[in-house]
Amino acid sequence: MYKVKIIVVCGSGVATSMHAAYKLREYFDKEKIPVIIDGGGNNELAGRAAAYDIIVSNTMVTMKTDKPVFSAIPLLTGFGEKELAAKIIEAARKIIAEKDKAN
Amino acid sequence: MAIDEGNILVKARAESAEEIIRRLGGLLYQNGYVKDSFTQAVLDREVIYPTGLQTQLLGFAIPHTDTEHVNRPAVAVATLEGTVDFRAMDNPEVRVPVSIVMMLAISDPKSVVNVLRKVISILENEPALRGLAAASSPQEVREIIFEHIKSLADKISTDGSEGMAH
Repeated sequence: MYKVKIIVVCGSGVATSMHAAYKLREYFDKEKIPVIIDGGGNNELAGRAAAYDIIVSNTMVTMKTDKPVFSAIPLLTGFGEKELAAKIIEAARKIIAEKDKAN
Repeated sequence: MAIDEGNILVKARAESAEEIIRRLGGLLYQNGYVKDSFTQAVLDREVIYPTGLQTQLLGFAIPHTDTEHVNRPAVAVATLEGTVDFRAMDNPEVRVPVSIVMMLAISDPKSVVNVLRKVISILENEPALRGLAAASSPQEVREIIFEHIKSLADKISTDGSEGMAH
């Protein structure tokens, strides 16, 4: 099974992205979906995005990308968190299906 | 990560986000937790990466900045009489009327990640937020944050490397 790669970014990569990344990982673990989740700073995103399948961000993503982008704010406030996690997992499942089919 | 009563303001009156950031930054500096460059660095970062968050209950802000401006990790808190506008983390064009400001002084993210996560997760704890908003003393604010952290002891694992000053 393809291992989906997700990058979670915030302003500096110091505080909120780490928290959001941990929480997101818990949802993937619960669904037993293998995943790589890394945290980072917004300024690294343009350089690193190519290596990931899904972008989750606490800040506004202004760079152009064809990858799915999600706001990480619900993972911080808890408000709409389950819905967000479900959407990200759905996107991940779609990517896994496509990649596994291609192999 | 220190939660020091000397870094807590209760029912503070402030006209702007900048004013309350300056006051909290001033306390952290006076108490030796940050360098004199900290407050300006927080203000500068707030322009590029704002930290206002609308929780279900109230507006909350977590101003912070790069680790180089910090001596020792700490949290400074202000509960406000009324609100000041912060810009929203996910959209700088949106203003969030904030009534609780939690300023984070982070020196070594890896060593404090667990306690930092616990502190940040207070955003999801409605009773704790209600308690903070109603608190009438720095001691009370500190107690509520500790109670919240304690309640998470099992949920967010600690690896023993973090230091939390009581």
